[in-house]
Amino acid sequence: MRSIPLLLCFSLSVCTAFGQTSKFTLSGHVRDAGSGEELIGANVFESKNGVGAVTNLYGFYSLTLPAGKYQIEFSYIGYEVKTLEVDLTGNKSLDVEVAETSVSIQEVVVSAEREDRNVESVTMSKEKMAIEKIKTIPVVFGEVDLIKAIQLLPGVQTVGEGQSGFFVRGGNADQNLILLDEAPVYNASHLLGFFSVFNADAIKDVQLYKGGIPASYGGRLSSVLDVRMKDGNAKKFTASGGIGSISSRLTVEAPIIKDKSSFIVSGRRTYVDVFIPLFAKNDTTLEDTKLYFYDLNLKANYRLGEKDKLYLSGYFGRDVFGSQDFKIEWGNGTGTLRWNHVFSNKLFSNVTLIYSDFDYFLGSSDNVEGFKWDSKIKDYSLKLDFNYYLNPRNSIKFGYQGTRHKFQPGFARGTGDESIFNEYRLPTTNSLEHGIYIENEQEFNSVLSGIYGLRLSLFQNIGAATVYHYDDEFKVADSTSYNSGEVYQSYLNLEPRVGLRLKLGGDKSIKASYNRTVQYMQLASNSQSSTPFDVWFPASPNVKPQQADQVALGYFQNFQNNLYEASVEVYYKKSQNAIDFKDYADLFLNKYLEGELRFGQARAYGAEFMVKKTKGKLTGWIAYTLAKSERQIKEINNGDWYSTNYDKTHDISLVTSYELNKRSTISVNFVYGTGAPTTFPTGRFVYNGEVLPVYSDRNGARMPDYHRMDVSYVLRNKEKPGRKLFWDLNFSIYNLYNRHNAYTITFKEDEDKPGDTYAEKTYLFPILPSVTWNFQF
Amino acid sequence: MKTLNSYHFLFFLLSILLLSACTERIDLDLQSDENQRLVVDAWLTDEAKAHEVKLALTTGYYNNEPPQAVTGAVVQISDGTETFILKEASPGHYLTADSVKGQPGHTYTLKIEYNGQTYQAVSLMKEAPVIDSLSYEVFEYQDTENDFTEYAILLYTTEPNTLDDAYYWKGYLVDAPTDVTRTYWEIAEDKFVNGSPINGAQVLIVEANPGDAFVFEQYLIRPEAFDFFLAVQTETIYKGTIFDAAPANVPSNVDNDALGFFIAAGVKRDTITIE
Repeated sequence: MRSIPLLLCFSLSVCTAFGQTSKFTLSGHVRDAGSGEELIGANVFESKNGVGAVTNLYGFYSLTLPAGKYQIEFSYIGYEVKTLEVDLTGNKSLDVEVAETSVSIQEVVVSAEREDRNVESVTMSKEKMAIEKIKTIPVVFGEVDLIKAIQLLPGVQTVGEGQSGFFVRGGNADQNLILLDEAPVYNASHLLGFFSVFNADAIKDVQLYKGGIPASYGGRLSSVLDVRMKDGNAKKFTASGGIGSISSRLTVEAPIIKDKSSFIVSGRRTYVDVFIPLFAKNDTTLEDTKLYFYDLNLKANYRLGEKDKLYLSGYFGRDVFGSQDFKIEWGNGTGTLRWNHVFSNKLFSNVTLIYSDFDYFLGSSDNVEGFKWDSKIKDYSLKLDFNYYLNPRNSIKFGYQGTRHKFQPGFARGTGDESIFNEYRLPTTNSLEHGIYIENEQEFNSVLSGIYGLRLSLFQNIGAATVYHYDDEFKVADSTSYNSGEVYQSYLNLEPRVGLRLKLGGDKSIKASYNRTVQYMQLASNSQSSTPFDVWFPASPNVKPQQADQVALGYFQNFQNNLYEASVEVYYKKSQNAIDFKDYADLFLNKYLEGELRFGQARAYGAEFMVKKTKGKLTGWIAYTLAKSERQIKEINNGDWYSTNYDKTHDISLVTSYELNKRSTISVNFVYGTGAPTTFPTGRFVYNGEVLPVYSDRNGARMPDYHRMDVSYVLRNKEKPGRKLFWDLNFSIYNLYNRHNAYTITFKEDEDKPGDTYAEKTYLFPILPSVTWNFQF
Repeated sequence: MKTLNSYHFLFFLLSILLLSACTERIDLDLQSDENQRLVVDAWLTDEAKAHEVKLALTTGYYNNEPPQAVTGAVVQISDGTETFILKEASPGHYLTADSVKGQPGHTYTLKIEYNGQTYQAVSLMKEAPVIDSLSYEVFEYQDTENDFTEYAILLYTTEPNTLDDAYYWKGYLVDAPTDVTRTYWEIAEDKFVNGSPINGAQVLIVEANPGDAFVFEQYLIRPEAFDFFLAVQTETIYKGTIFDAAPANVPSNVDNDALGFFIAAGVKRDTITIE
């Protein structure tokens, strides 16, 4: 019955009319006492009525109670609980600061938010990781990487050694919506995918949705990785950084005006290129080799008053690789301007302007064959988000997002005086993507809670454009031209999202969810590693938007007073208009890219098991995923179902940390996964003296199983009263038992014995030790 | 053309440098395809000579024996009016009469009858552009450990202003035309250079000593043949990098589940001596 007033409440004026005179609202922000950072997902709880609220992504909460005196508890994991007496005789604003429990800054907490979140929360298939935990996980070259940490969660797969691409519940890597301060990141990797673009020092909060995706997110099928940058310390100047095996980092945070305005600047640069001359002693061609990447995160905020706050944040990252006469560069840039406004104790709003770009450049300076080739993606977005806290049992979110996408997939031309190259330009595409959403999180009674919402998305292709039409054999038949500004294709989709939680006693619950997601942008990628030349392309008259429906069911239980968290989730996901590429697809500067695509359907299903220990000297988790991911496309593999490149049957991750004493922690990781599907030869033939393979089904064979163990040891300086400088030394060993995990297996002809063929394995990282020194003051 | 194709190589270099990628031989069991398929290697050009069609069968992948020749097949090439009958000169090698010559502009059909099955392939012959001249230069990546120096052969020609032309370039030692270790080939398409004069483009990289003379041949091939050779390269020389595309069967223009290619092409020829 509650849903009737809810519908009316879309109009704000109506809502105020519903306000009952005997109830008042307590609202405000929860912040870190040390830095003034707003805390995401902190709990506000009133025990007498048993009602509570959780702070939103900007640290804002709103709790409506009958008039009276209350003891209100403010809590956040790793922080001391603060209890305040509140005499609620009218609507009241209350900003609260909570202090970290430990003096030591290295306190490790596996999960943030409240202790019984696993069982209590309505959302399922969601993972939140504390940055401090991410920093303890041993990684390759000691380079802290949040995507590598995410890959250790159940339902998240990786393919290939050390890659920062990830595959969620049988979905492709381009089906992850990766957001940095609300701006989409188109290429989240550096250095061919071995490192992610996220500099952990500048990051406050990371959330991953594998399913039950809230209606406020749209545009990708499989997951949302929502990364939020720190705001910058509003109380005092702090600096932190690190010197590592391949890169160094420095972060500076300080108030501009104390408690009102602050900033953070965080930079990172690799220096692999410094070592190149050592490799290239006598090789003149390598002397001028450039090879590095850098990241710069910037953010500033300004509190205009009690009700308004502005945030400006930006990210700039670039990879540069070049030799004497050849250069490749690529990078992302994002910018976000946000304005938080509190309309009333119950209505919080945020307006966001977003700019995001990704570009790459390739060039050679040769006189005859010199050329320049560049490609650019630009997004401009406006986002309006509202949180309306109707009453303690209902909180509503609604909003709008509009994005203009401009893709310039490639422009190549000769540069030298005697250049032999003509200009070759892939046509620019323009499109608009709109979404409106509404979602309510409702506590029906003490055992049943739900979250239900709807997203309506509209995608439009806009001229000027030339659209090629393809015949049955995917050859260009003719084309149609459209004028500038003309909308030549629209797709409208309704995306329902539902989740339910049923509590079974104090420490057990069952959750279920369903969501439909639609994706209008996809990545054409032909190889298993991430290259900057992968082309993003939009839905169009030839490319229908991909659509996925996912259902998930889970059982959640905590043991021993929330010391252990356990969960089992099963899911089934079916996608329409799934895309794959024909054999030997030409994705490289191809005007007729759409003719290389083949369409069909995809399905994925699996079960995820996880047990986590959240407190004590020993913390960590073990996760096991049993999964299947397949595709069926008429023109591929004779129309039979085939495994996707990232279909891993078994996947195990063990992540542990043991605090030896106050100064040192040892961490051990172990991962095991079924080998990824691949295509191996079943026969061979000889043409023109070359031995060529004959293959069977696509992805009909499997790589050898993958497993690896990593360890790290962290030593911190002694705690002393009044000590300002904290440092730690992180020794880590990647691939402890030196397993030669196959990265690729190729079949070759023996150079010494022509006609003899053999299988050869390429592996990337043998046992790899590294040391990083981190500091903070 | 060369530079655009060679980004594979640059990235491979990068991955070796940075990541100390290692390789090792492994024993890997493979499923074997029971059924042996016909493999065709057939060329017809606009030169007067005995043109050859080679026929063989596929074998198991680790079967390190010479391919099994197909004998007793009936082979002919026809443009609809004129038909060339090929005779088996040695096991698996079928030749036309001595001074047979294809006509540019004609479409040729290769027909093979073998073991109760009929196989056909069709290819259009187009005239190859004239080679204005050839030159060479020392190639940058010198191989100092061998006796050879690497030279780049430079081509001067005019690309015809018709789209979808592709080239197959072949170079071999004048003295030893059958020495496979001194035979080079490369392919190119006209996507980026259509209708342009080509003034000294690097077309082949050859290992040579001063005094070596190379025959250089320029074939004008169809885009399907270009795709075929590109696939051959993908499956042989471009293999083993971390940027490998998904493996796939090399395309064929021969029907009835056969492999290989029948190519009708115009050809022009010139010779260059390294001094």
